Amino acid sequence: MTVLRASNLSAGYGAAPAIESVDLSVEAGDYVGIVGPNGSGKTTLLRALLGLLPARSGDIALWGTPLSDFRDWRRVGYLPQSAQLPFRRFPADVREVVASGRLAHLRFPKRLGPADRAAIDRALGLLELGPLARRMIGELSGGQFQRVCLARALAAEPELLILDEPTSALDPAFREQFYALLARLNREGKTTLLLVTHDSATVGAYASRLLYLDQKVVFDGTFDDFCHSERMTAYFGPAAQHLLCGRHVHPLPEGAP
Amino acid sequence: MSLFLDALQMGFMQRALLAGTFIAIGCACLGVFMVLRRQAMIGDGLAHFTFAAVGLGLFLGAAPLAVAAPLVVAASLLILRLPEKTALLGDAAIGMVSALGLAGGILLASLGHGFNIDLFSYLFGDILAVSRAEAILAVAASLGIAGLVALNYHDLFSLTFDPAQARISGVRSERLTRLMAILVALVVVLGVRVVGTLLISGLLVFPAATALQIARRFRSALWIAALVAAASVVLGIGLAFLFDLPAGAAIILLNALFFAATLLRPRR
Repeated sequence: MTVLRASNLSAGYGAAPAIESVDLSVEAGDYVGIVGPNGSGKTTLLRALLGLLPARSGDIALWGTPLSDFRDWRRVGYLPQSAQLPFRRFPADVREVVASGRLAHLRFPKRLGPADRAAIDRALGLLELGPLARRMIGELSGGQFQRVCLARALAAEPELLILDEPTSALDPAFREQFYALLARLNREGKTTLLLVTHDSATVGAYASRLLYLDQKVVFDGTFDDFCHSERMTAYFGPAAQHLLCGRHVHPLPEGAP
Repeated sequence: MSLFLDALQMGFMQRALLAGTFIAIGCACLGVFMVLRRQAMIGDGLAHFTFAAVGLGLFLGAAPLAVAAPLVVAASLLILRLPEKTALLGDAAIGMVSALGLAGGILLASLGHGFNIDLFSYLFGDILAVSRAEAILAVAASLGIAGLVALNYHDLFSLTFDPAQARISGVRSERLTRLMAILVALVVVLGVRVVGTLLISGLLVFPAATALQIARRFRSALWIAALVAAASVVLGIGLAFLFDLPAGAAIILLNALFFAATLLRPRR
């Protein structure tokens, strides 16, 4: 089943589009890693797919419903790139922020029920935030706050989880743990994942598909294919490809700088 | 004190307390959102615009607040739209609307020589001159704000904390934001009778700022802000009556005192 489809999608902020004529199809159960250099349009693509940035052209559909008509947002979880620390005195604790991830599940008069509270507890537990649950949100470190935002996205128990550089503020140990958690959600919970990262080698080890974006989709396939594609070698040069593929690919080619 | 208790029997004092308390509570609740969304100065901008709108009402010989209400609502919506249309930051839009309002008010004051005294009375407010209709409007506006906040609590929390997250949670962000802008405009217009255009932004900012020094939860911030606002109005009117002080100034100075008191608490 196709969870998300974008065709001929163009979007951007200024005069020049940040992404142009992007075609993308994500099937249920996919784990898609999106990589690309700075300014390649990764965040723009995610924001356009979610309707946070109006598309200049093209069509987007979620579960077959055009984005403009889509209302079933409880099926979608999102972690934005700029999960900036809030105002230090923002009057909310960790649990209250994670609970806001359940908003799309609530129906009038929008009160949290036992199922919501259980989902919030699970999300707090998955991100090891239990001991911080009553800590004020403005008292957290950057890494702790990123974990709270991840927990908020997980509290929604979404079928499609869209993450924009989710590990940028996490320490290396927790980063590995987090990728393992995502893999488990994908494998056992059948959560479809769309993840933007600069960490191509790590996501490549987990993702079922890698999409290399540079305003357009340059590559869409498995990480193995990406690392062994002659077309990609020609595109990046052997040294750059080696860096992108990390330990996954053969040793650095002879004579490479 | 018995003088004040006697005064409570009088209609003007009852209307002053009723209108003042309800307007202050409405301002305080909206103020929490405005301060957290870094739009605290919107009250100042709209108050300045109200000055021009009231001037226009007086110039035309119409009821000043009836003329001001739709114009200030339009200005509030303009402050929302300008950043979207021009990529300006929100505070620039507030500054522009504020200056436009003051310039318009000054121009009208110079054109209409006969109503300067009336116009300048709106600068400082006159809570003891609140009419029955204004008191009823103040109560209705405040109850409307309380209802909006109670029914949309989770939506408003999300919208304030993370607007992008709110949108993908299905919150009708634009509609809710516009509604808030309209309510802010209405409480500002009604509030100029209580403390005047020069001080109305104090009712939006001070109780919210005080509450944010104390509250650890979003809901308690709203309750504390409302409580501080109500206390400042009741005590402010009492002090103004007993010591023959301007009520608006007394209310805002009490708010400043409450805020200062929170700074004396030991820091966590």
